[in-house]
Amino acid sequence: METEQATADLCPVHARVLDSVKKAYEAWAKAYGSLRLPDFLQRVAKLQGTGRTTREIVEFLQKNPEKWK
Amino acid sequence: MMQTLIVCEKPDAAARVARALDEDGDPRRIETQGVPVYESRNRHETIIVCSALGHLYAVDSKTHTSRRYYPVWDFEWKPKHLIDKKSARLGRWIQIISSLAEKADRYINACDYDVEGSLIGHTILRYACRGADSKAQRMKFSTMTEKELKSAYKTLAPQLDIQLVEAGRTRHELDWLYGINLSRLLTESALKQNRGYSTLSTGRVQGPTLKFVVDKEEEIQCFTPTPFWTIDATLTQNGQEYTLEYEKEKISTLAEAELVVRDCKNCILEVESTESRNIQQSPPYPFDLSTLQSEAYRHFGYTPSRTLALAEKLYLEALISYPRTSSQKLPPDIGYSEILHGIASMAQYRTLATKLTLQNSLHPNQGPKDDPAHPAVYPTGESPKRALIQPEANLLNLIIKRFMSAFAEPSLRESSKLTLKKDPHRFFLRGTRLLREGWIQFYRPYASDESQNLPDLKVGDKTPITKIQATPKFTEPPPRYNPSSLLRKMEEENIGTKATRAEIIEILYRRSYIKNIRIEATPLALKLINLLNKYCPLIIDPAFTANLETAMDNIQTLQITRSHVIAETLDHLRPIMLDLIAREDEIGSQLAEAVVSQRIARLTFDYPCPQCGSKLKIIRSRTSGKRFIGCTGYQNGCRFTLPLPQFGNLSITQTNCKICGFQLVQARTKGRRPMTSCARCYSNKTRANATEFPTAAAPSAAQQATDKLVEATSLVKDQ
Repeated sequence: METEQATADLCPVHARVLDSVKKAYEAWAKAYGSLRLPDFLQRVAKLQGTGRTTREIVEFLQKNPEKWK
Repeated sequence: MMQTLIVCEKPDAAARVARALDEDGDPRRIETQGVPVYESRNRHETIIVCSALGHLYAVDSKTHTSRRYYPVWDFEWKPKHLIDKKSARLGRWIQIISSLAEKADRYINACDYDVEGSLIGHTILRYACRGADSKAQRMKFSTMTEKELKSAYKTLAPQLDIQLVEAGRTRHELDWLYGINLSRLLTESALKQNRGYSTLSTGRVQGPTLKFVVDKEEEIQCFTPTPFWTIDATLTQNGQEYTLEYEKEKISTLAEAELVVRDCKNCILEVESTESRNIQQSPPYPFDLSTLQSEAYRHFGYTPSRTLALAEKLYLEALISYPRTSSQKLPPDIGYSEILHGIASMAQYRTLATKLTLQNSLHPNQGPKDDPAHPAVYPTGESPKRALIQPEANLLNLIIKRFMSAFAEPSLRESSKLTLKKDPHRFFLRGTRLLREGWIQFYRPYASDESQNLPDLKVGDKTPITKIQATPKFTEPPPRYNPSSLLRKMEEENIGTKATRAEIIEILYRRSYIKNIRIEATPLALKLINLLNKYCPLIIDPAFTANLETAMDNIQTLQITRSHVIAETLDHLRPIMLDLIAREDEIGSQLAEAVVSQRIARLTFDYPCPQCGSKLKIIRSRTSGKRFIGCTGYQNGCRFTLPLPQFGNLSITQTNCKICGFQLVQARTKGRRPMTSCARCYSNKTRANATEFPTAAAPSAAQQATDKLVEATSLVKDQ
């Protein structure tokens, strides 16, 4: 059986989504040349295609920016 | 005089068989205790034609009569009316068939020629006719036309198709072992938490199917869009605007997109090359069931189960051949020419069908899929004897047109491409033109014959770009399944059978594991699959189920025996069940929590009360028993109410009304198209007009005061 690592704050699914949000930020920053993290989070939160779990992570990061690292 | 007993699958089929075999085409109908039996006569014998009502026998526990007991490992075949209270009337059918069997000298199974039909007939002959299965003969046919039924009767197979029966028995027994044990465990473990009853089920096919939906749901919910840009450019030639296609479909950075626009703005493009090629497109293959279901969904929006129900109706009226087929082949012995002449006798097809009958030879374009029992779905060429309802007429039209197009010549299309340059950038203009209609004329309006003309430009010609811009876009999550694409996925993964897949999807809707036409997994489904994935992942593994399907196919080809498959299943399922039972409490508490929150969510609208902004809920009136929408701000004086349909399972959709913005409500009734409506618009309309469909009038304020806000699941279950 596959096992996933949960972090101190997040369940395995949210931990995985946090990773993919971090990767997406890299893609966004490259796409726009430069992009501040709060602007990225704000824009992702507003997009229709953003998934519910991703939205939860984005809101979590907006409230707890220190968790980004 | 000799007496023959023929067992058919359904009463309508029995009536047709009896009519075909009676010398005068007018058999005597004898109805005893509501069970119709037909007596046909010819010079040599009396033929008694009786019918089942689907399965009259089913698998049940041998020793445990409680429906709540688990695990259960011993089973036997029992009359269905002894297992399921809803099937009480089947007792009469068994009784009548048994009494008819006593007088019979010869027995024939004339149920549908497939696994289910063979099993239905076999269990009746074995149990109701006291072992007549060993001496019974088999009548095989693919259409219910008089000619084919007579011919099938003359060429009876000397014995029953035991391999099909064995494969069918194994399928039912396996499904029962998995379904009963796992479903009882899930339901009971949640019930033991004392938070209300809810039927929770899973099974050998249901589990993996639900997993497909849940996996897709997780992919969608975990999706993060990323930006990209497209270059939208046009050129104008002789007053007509043409859309250009940039060489890169997606540009991943804003800088690059802006560079393209800067380089090409107001520039002159030069035609670098022109290409043109002719593409021959063969006619579509004749329909197997899943392609028919998929095409009916695409053109009419019919769910797979609805298409199957409609097709069965057309089959029983001898308008089409047997629809539960995997074949895409039309063998010559079905009589192409005769069918086409029959079709030509119907006014709306006369011109097209006559064209085909005038061809020197008729060769259908056949697909790769085959079915040993039946050919592809085809029209019999008989005209409907009654006015068909619109969905039946639509499906028959689709089948007739598909059949005709299979005999037509390929269509020929010219595809052209112009490449225009402004170094280092390239743009394309694509065009298409139909050179020869071929099969497309026979399959209209279900085939597209759109053409896209190109401007008259040659290599070296120059033309200015009229408009260019970089459009920002974002990647989209994967599309959701719909009933048709989910059925296709089941077929691709080889889980379930052509006959059961549509029903499995319906069950997932009934259990509230999935909702909406663009299928969404509910939180309960997410929780269930999460638990099964954690404790017994093999149960929801499509590959495991596909292996079992292959094992059952191998029973048909005598490569493996039924007892071997059952023994392997028991060896596999026993340790899983024991492990799950040990964790019952943990599983139950998580499921009960999901059930309760789903129950509340299912009854609550996201759209707030237009009068006070509180939440709106589906409420059942304690006094009248009717359902309506009421405001939870009632205690604070809000009297806002709306009426609701009083039939079917109600669900609140995530779609909003285009007119008033209120959340739409969907009523699902088995075998019918789901009805989606806006309670608010309906309420406004009914105030102006008389009522058109049965809804509860919203109760008066005084009556509402006596009603309690009941939030039980039974609220939305009306079946």
